[in-house]
Amino acid sequence: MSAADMRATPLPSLAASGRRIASGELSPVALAEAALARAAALNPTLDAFIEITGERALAAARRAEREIAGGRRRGPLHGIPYALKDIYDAAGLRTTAHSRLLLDNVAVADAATTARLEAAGMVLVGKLATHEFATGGPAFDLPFPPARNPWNPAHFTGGSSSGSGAAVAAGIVSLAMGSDTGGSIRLPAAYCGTVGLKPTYGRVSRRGVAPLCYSLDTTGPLTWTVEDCALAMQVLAGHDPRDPGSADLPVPDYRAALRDGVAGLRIGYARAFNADGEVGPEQSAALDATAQTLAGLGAEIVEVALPPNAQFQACARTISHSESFAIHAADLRSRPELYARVTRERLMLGGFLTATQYVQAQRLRRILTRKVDALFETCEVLLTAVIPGPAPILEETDDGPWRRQQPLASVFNVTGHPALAQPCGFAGNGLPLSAQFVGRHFDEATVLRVGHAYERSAGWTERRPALAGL
Amino acid sequence: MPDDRESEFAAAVRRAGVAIPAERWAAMREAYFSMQALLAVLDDPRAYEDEPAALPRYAGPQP
Repeated sequence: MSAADMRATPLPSLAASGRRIASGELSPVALAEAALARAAALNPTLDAFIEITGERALAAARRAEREIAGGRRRGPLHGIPYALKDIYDAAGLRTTAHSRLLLDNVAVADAATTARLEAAGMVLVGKLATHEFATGGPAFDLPFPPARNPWNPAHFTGGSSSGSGAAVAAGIVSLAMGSDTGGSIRLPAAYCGTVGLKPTYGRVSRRGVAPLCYSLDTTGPLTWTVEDCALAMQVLAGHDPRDPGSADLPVPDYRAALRDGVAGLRIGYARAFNADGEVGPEQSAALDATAQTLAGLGAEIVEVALPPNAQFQACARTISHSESFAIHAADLRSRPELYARVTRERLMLGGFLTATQYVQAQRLRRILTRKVDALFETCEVLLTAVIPGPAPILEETDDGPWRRQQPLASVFNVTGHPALAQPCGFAGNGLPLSAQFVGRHFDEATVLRVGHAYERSAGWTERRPALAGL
Repeated sequence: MPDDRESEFAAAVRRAGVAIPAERWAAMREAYFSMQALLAVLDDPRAYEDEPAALPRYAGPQP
């Protein structure tokens, strides 16, 4: 395949690349060159990358190629490109958090997750755009522009893992790392038509990732397929004694669980949440169709009721704003002009909250978690909305200090349950719609199992964005 | 804007120790009261035994 052909084609899935590298059919160096060429061609339109690490990537790819040729293949991800949201540390590279405050912040060590991906032999091709400090919103008064949606660059990617969603949807990489405090993995996955998993709180280490809210932050993967998400989780999941929130629990074989299908599973569809969350008619219809597809595959679908969205939002917003203000208070007081206006104003709201409100939100958090846990006494997985409809136009996104529409995704940041966003159709304007599968604490395996069965039946992954500039 | 609401917001800003430019004062004040309206549900009655979610875990020695 010529360089032009490789650039014009989305990178293969992690699973396909792994198989082809193992058989000797695909060279890690050629794969890295393809990713870099595609990044160079598309980044002027998409602004997905803050930094493309070409030399480092090619050196890592050559090393991988030598090791594999020498019979030292490390596993199914060896020699495959990936990218990091620019809040993850990678030794020797800047971690800017998309902010003027950290323009000279060079990481001295890898984040725990970066280290795991590097140990698996993956090839880092760059650092990705984010909303500043993984909060705020798309901003035009920062050193780097906001990422744009590959399905239509006039539209929003969702955030805050904006570059991660754009890079995977554009087929520049098949794995990008994101973080999720109130939906920041699942929203860009949903708006960009990719898969995105917010693992259970504590399942994947947060060490070496810029914090936003200690008690809600999670880290996780965005991929094109659910199988790829399982492959990534196999590397990422596990106890980290240096992350105070990390859980010391065994990690199952995620890929093996994909084979089991959904026949006999009981899936609770939170259909009333569509109205409560002001979900639009196209997205609601796509969720109904998702439930029907799963029923056709042998799952039993029952309707379940989540507690009112307003309770989740009050809880999530109080905790998130309070903790993020605590993290940023010194800079907000001493050099506020360095933040984007939208970041500064949204962070400042946390300074107006009281200790009483924070404690009451944490009390409500336990009540809400108990109520959602009760739903899992009769269901293995929940199906819910994660976005109200397709991605809005970028320049029309809400940039006020208080978001008028509260994100639906933060429900499961409050409760800590694992939640997977994946495509479930397309709106009339050609933009992706998304479904969310939610599981019991630390049962990512069953969530991925349902997502994989649905994905294979629905076939949405066959459709890719038509991209100019290739 | 009634004086008591204006003074409530001004007090919150002083307590936070942040500076808000004059041209953004009204937008931030509106955001503050929108936030407080959403958070009213936090004042719903709770039982004494409804403890906070974020309690320390004593699972063993920390590194």
